[in-house]
Amino acid sequence: MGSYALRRLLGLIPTLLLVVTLVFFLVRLAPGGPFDAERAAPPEVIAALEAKYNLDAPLGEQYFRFLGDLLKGDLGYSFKYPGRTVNEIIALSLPVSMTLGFWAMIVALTFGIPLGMIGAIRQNTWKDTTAMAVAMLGISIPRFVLAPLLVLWLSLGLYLFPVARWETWRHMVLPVICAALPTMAYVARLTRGGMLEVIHADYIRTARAKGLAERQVVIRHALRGGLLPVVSFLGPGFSALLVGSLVIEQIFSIPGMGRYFVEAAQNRDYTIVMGVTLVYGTLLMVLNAVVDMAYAWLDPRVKLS
Amino acid sequence: MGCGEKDERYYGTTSRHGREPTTLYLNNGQEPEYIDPTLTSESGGAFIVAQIFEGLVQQHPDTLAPIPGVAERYDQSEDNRIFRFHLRHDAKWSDGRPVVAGDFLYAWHRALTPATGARMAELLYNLKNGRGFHQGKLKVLKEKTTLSPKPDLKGGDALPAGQAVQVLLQLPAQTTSLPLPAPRKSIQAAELKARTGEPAAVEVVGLGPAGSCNGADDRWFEVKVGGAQGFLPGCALNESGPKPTVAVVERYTDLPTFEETAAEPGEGKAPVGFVPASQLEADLSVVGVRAPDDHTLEVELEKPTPFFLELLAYTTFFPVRKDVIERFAAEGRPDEWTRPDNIVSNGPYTLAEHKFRYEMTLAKNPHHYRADELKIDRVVVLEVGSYHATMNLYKTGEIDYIGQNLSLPQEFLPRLGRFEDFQQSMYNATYWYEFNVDQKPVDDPRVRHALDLAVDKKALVERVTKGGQVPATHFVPDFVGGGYAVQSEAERKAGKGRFDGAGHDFDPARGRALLKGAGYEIVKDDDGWRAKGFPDLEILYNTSEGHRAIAVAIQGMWKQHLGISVTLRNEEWKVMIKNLRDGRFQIARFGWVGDYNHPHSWLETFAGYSGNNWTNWEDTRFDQLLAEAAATKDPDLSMSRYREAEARLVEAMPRMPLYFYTKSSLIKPYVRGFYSNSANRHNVCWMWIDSSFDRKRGPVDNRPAMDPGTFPPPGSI
Repeated sequence: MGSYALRRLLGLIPTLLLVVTLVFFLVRLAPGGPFDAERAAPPEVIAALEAKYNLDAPLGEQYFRFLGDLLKGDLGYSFKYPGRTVNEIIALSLPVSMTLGFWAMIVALTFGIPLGMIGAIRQNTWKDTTAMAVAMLGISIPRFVLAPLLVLWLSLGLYLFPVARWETWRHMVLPVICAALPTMAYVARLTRGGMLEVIHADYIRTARAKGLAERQVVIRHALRGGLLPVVSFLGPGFSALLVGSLVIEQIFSIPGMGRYFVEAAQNRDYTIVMGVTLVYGTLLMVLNAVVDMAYAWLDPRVKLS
Repeated sequence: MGCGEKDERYYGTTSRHGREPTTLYLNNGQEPEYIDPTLTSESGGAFIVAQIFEGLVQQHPDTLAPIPGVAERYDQSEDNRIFRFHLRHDAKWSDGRPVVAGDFLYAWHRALTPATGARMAELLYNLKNGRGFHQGKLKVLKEKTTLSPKPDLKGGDALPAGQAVQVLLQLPAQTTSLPLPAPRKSIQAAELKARTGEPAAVEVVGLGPAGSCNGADDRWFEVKVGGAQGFLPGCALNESGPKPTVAVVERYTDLPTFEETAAEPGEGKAPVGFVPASQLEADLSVVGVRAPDDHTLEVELEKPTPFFLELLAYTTFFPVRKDVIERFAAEGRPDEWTRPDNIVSNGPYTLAEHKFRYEMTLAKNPHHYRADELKIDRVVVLEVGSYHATMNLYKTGEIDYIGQNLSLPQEFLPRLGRFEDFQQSMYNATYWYEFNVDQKPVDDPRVRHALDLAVDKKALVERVTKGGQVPATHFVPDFVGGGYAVQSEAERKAGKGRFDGAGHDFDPARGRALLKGAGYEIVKDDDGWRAKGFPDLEILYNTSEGHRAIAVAIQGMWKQHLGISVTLRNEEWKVMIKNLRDGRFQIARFGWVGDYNHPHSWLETFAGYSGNNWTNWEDTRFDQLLAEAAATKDPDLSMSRYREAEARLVEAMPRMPLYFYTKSSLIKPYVRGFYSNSANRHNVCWMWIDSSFDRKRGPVDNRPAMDPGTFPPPGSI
C-alpha cells in the first residue's frame, strides 16, 4: 500500500505539469487581456502596466519564467488585485471553501447514505419511490434556484438564519444545505444502486442462511457493496465541494475560492486562473489516490497494481 | 438577528439591532482595484478614496458646487488659466504630519509619470505641458548638445544643458503609409488616414519643411524606403523599437511662467535638428504646477479651463505621501502601502481594517481638522457583489444604505417605487449606441438619422428599462453643471429647445423618407415595411439581461418602422472591448459617465484624438469648436460654444443617444445628510443617524453633519 501511495504521488508531477502548460497557453489565447477596460487608458500607461507584469516579453520566455517561479512556490501576483499574491489570495479563500465543503460532505453522507439504504432495502415500495424522488429533485434543482428559495423561506420568512455573509455558525447553515443537497441526492442514488447490486448476491444469501440477523446482513455485508460507488465518487465529488461553488459564494456573499474559477477567467487574471487550477488539480489527484486505496481496502477483490 | 419592527412605509426593517448610532453600515460592491488616489479609476475605489483622502476642493453634498477642502481659498487669473491655492494650516495626515503643497505636487507628478501606470493621467493633460510630458514628447537636454541638420549628428549649433525640447520623431523609424506622396512640390498639407499594411523600416536622411497633417502642425522628413526616396510627414512615422538612438527635436520655449503673460517665444522659428537620444531626459518642471511654499500650490493650465475646479474633485488630484510610497516601492512591494497597517491618508476617515473581498472598516481620523464635528465614527463597508444579496441585507437591517456602487435589480424597480426609503435621481451618464462609420450602410449620416428617428425612446424607458430614465435626443444630460443646465432650461422655456422637435423626436415617417433619400426604397409588405436593398444590421452588446432587452426592443422597432432586419450579437465584456478597439463591430452598445460635472467630459469622447472614440468618426471642425469652447473665458459664451459643438455632433450622429441614466437607491429613513445628486457621490462625513426618527413630527432636519462652507470670492493674480 505504501509503495502504491508513493507511486501515485509521484505520478502527480507529470500530470500537473501537463495541466499547467495547457492552462498557461489556453488562457492567453482568449481574446482580450487583463488591462482591457471600458476607459481607454493612454498607450503609455498600458505599456507601463504590461512591463510591470512582464507581458511584453515573448510568450515562450514568459512560460519558462513562470515555470521557474512555480518551482520556488511563487505563483506570482494577481492582475486584477494589485499587490496581492496568488498564494495570499488562495490562503485567504481556500480555508473558507474547505470548511463549507467539509460540512457539506458530512451532511451529504449523513443523509444520503441512509436515504439510499432505504431505497435499496425497501425497493419498489412507496418508501423507495419517495426517497428517489427526493434524490431526483436534489439533483435537478439548480443551486441558484434552491438558494434564493431557502433564503426566502428560512431567512426572510422565518428569521431562522441570516440572509448572507460568513460570520457565525448560523451563517453556515443555508450555504451548507445548498452545497450538500445535490451531492446528497447523488450519494443516495449511488448507495441504492450499489446495494441493489450486491443484495441478491450469493454471499448475502449465505449470510442469511447462516442465520445472521437481517440488520447485520445489511450493515456488515450489503452496505459495503453499497458504499463502493460512493467511495469512488468521493474523489471528484469531495474535491469539487472543497474548492467551492461560484453560485453559492455569490448568492451568500461568502469569501471562498469557488468564485475565482469563473471570475478570474472573465478578468483574464492569468495568474489566479493558474493558481486555482493547480489547487483543484492537486486536490483531485490526491483524493483520487486516497479513494483508490480505500476502495481496495473495502473490496477484497480489488488489487492495487 | 431577530425580527425588527416592520413599518409598511419602508422596505424591510428600520431596527438597527442595537447598533451604535455612530457606526454606519453600507455596501460598496466589488473589491476595489486600487485605493491609491493616483491609480484609482473605477467607482468602487473612488468611493473609498473619497472617504479617506481629501483634495484641494470638495463637492457640496447637495448642489455639487466646489467647496473648500484642503484649500481654504484660491486666486485665479483673468483668463482662468492660472490658479493659486492657499492651503489650510491645520490639515493633517493620519500620522499627525501636516498636509503640505508638496504632497499635491508629488501626487500630480506621479500621475503624469508614465511608469506609474495611472489610467486617469489624461485628466492632468489640463495642466500646461501635461500631455507633452506624459506622452514623452517633452524632454530636457542633460548636457550641452549640438543640434545637427542630419542624422549623422555632425555639425550644427549647440543648445545649452537643461534646454527643453519637443521630440518630433525618434529613430530608427518605420511607416505603414505607403506609397510615398509626391516629393516636395505639393508639400502643404497631408491628409493621411488609411493604414496600408505591415510597417516598413524607414531611413530618415534629412529634414524637410514644416507642414501640417490631419489638421495639426507637423514636419516633413526626407526618407528612403525600400529603394525609393521621398518625403513623409511626421504623422506617418513611428518609432520601430524601444531603444531609440537618435531623436529629432525642436527647441521648446513654451514653459509655464505662472503669470498671465506667456513666455517670450524664441527669435524666429524654433531650431530643429538631430540629437543623440541618450541626451534626453524627463523633467517634471516643464509641467505647469509648482509649490512655492508649504501652503501654496500654483497651477498653470494649458488653456482656459472652465471646469478646472470641478475637475479637482476627482481622486487623481488628491495628495499622497511621497515618503510612504517610496519606502514600499524601494522594498519591492509598491502596492502594499495602501494596506491598513501601512496607509497614511488625510481624509476624515482612515482605513482601519481590510478583509480582502469581504469587508473594509473605516475609522475616524483623529488628526483631521474637522474630526470633532463628524457624527459617524466608524463605517463598515461590505463588499457584496450580488444585487439580490444586497437587497436582502438591507431588508433585514444588516446595512443602512445599499451604497452608491450598486444598482437595484431592474425587476424590482416598479415594486420599490412605493417605499419611502426608495430614492431615484438623475445620474450624469448617457446610454448610447456607437456606429462604426467606416462600415456600410451606417457610413451614410442619413441612414444613421433614420435609425435614430425610428426608435421610440419614450416607449423604451417606460416599458423596457422602467427605471425613470429620460429619453435622450442628444449626448450631454440636461442637468449637467458649469452652466449647461441653465442654458438648456432657458432654451426650452423660450420654446427653442435645440434638441427637441422635428428631426430629433421619434418620427418613423421621417426616418423612412431619409432612407429613401439614401437610396433605399421602402415598400409596404404584408405585415409592415421592407427596406429594399438594405443590408442586415448587427447590434453588439455585452452580455447582460438589461442590454439584451433594449437591443431586442430596438431590433423590433427598426423592423416595424423601417423594414430593416437586425441580428444581435452579445459578447463577454472584455471580448467586446477588444472588438470595439479593433473596429470589429457595426453598431455597439456603449455610453459615458461624466468624470466631472461639465459637458466637456462627454463631448471630448467624440474628438478625433480621443482614445474613447470607437466610431472612426472624426471632424476637425468639431475638434476646433471644442477647443475654442474650452478656451473661452466668459462662462456663458463658453457654454453656448459647447452647445454649438454638441449640435454639430447631433447633426452628424456618429452615435445614437438613447437615454440619460437614473440611479435608484435604498437608504434607511434614519440616515440624514444624504442628498440625491446627479454625480451619485455621497460622502459619509456629511451623514448622521437620527435615532429618534420615528418619534418626531414635523419637517425633517436633513442638514449635513457639518457645515459644507463656501469659498470666498477668488482673489486675482
